[in-house]
Amino acid sequence: MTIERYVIRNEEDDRTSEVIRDIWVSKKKSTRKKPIEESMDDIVWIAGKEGEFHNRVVSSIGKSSDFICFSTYLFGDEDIEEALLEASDRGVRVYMLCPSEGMLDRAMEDEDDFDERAKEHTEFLDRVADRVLIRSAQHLHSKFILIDPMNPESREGFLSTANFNRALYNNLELMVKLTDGEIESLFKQFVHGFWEQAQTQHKKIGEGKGDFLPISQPPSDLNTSMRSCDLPTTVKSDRSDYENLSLRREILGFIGTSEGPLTITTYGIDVDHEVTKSIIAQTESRDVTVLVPLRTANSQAYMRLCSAGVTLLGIDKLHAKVIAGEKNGEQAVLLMTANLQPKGLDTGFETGVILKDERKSKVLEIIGYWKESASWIYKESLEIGNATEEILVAGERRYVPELILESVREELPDVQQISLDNEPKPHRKKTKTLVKKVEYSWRVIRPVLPKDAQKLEEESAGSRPLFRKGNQLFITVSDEDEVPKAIRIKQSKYKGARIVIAE
Amino acid sequence: MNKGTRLPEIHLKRKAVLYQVEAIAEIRRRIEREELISLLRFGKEQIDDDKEFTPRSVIEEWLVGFPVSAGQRLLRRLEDLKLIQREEGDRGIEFLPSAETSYVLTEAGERAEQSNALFMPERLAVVIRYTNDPLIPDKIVSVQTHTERLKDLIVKGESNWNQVIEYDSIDLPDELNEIVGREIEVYEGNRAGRVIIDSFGHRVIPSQATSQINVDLRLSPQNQLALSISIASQIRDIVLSQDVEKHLGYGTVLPNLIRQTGQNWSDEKQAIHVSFSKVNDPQKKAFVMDVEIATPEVQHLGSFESCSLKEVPITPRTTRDAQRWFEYLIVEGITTYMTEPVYMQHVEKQRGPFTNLGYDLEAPSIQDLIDRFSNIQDDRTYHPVYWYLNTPRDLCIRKRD
Repeated sequence: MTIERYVIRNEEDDRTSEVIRDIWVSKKKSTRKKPIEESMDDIVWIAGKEGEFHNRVVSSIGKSSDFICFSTYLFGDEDIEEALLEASDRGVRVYMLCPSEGMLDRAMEDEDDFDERAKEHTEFLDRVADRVLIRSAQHLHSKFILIDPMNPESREGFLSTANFNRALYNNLELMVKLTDGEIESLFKQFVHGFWEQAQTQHKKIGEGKGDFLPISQPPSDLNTSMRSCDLPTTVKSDRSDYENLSLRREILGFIGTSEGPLTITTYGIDVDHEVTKSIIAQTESRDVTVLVPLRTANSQAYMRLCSAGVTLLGIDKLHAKVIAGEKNGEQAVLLMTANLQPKGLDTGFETGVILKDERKSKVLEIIGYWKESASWIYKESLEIGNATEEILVAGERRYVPELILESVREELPDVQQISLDNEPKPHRKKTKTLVKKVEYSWRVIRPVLPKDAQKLEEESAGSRPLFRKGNQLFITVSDEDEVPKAIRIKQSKYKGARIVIAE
Repeated sequence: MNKGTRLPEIHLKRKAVLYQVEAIAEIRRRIEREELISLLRFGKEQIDDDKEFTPRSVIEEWLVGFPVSAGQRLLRRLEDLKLIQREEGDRGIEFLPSAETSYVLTEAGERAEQSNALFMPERLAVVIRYTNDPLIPDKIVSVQTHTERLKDLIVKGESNWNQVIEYDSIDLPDELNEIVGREIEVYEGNRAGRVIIDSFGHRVIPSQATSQINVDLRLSPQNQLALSISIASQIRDIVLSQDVEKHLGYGTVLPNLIRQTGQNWSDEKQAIHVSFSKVNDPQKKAFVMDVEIATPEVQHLGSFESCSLKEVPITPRTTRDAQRWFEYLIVEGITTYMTEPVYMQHVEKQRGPFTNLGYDLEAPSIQDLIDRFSNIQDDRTYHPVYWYLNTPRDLCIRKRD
């Protein structure tokens, strides 16, 4: 059989048992007959493109007659701004708590377009300076609005997990209408926050320009204590000695004493926080499901929760913060503004509401819908062979889509053979592509006798002549069948020789 | 008067012309010679007791144990100083008097004995500077010896050293009359001595060049007066005469000065009546203003350089002015958040000065002020008072909580 100058080699690499980590795999969505309405009986809302909650807030502001207490982390809504200013123009005092530009912490609200949101927040503050009385501190994170809180006839209040900006349209958020008692309690928190927790006050310093300036002590005869506030809150800052961590206690109590399946939604979660550990501990006795956004900032926590047995469902733009479980045979729901992180539960200015009325069932319905419609389920690790076609892998800030290919074919560079008894393999670069099987193909260039090699007349390798070039001996073959014999001769007599194709 | 109001010190200045003459003066220089005074006193006692005052009586009763010649020499010395003279008439040519020569005290001797001061006769060239400013009681500002000038005058023969010239024969400026026969201070270089000018000699030269002295007068609300002049960078305090003092009562001078500016002074309130619209913010808050007077005049004492009265008390001209002023202070004083009780305390504090001035004014309530400042300003903001008063009312946790 004639001997070929080159041969094609093929090899398969089975990657199905290769493990990928920290990923989301697609989850089968169930089909719901009726989509969730943005507004549910005017007591619970979700964010949506119709802006139902947004419109409701604008309308409520339009009816105000005394004063408005407004707390948010970021602000950026033209209609609400206009409504606030119109209210101000007709004599309604508008008081606001929020961080100033320099106090905004990306880690608290790590939205993709944080810089743009922060800019619109700052521009809003400058526009409304001295028409809206704004105080700020870094830890102000709660989101609520109280209309005429001290007027039983006209008061209304709303608690929101969303910032008052385009989050009201785009994110997965929850907003509830507050009861009279909740309004009164939240008002106390606001008063305390305004006088005791805020660090600076916004002041106009020029046309369309404002600045935050230090503030003095409140009047000494003013009652600013929030000790009679009934809502669970986090209130702690460097400025004040006052500390209230009832929200954390409430959450821990809720988790520790509730029964049945535990469902939690959160935007941020800290792997080492006491609450996270408490959640993990529940997996020993019941199902725990945590709905989270697709943020890599939470990766550590995701891995830990998942490995403990928590079901992690990923929903893009999820921002709501809810804990739902069973207490004394009844469903119980805690809606809050805090994430499961130290900044939310240990320091900060946060609020929670335990929903006991119709709002509870509606929030549960929403949570249930989100669970059903969640597109992703977290896997701490997965063999490629078990992965579906599309998964999400960790990107810079978010988990990003990645396709799993069935197979790819890869052409490797030619390999030059030195001696026919030794065929090297080409170098394979590790491909980043997630693929179940890789088919490699490459060409082996077979060795040929150098043209300037000298035949050794006095010697031969069996029936084949022997050549020399320099110190190198060559055993030639002209046929495939001769190769084995040439190899034997080489091994017995010419160990250093190369077996090559004769020209 | 407004309790606690402080009236300003009045500080008036002007420059007074200083004239100068050069003269030769016969003087008597004060010398310290206690023993001669004692001897004069002994002599006076002798004479008063109808005893004789002779060299012998001196050594027998005053300088006991000494020879009579000692008494002769001592009395001769007194005679040379023109403090005693012989009863018998002019002394003879002998150097010493006899032991029995009897003496009496001269006028100068009587004065020396009474004043306890001796003056040695001398002749001096002096430069006398004087002024005719009505404030300065002693017109002579300084008398200074001018030794070089004396020598010059003698050498040139312009003055006969031995000639005694009566001052009447010399045409002296009137101001110099005052110092003749009076003990004055004469500056010799850096030293000052006390002398009596008996007469001026022949040469009295008014200086062509005049200079000026700075006259500085201060009147305090407590009617303390201080007058000083500065000459050759030396400041000298001057005691005012009663005639001058009577025109410098603070309670008269201050109102007159104020009125010279066209301002309306209230004697009752010891303050300037002003309209609220005519005073600036610092003046409103402090209840004082500075008053500039271009050419202040004091009756009988002439005019002075322009001056400024600092922090003159002011008072509202009318009740309406007072009311506006009161409300202005209330609003301006609201610089932080105020509850109702704090606001009331603030109001009462602002009311104090007006009560002292006799005004009974009405204060706006918190709601009045809130309503007043409820309009958006031109720069699209609310006045800070709007927030300072509204916020504590809105953002407080009520007692029932």
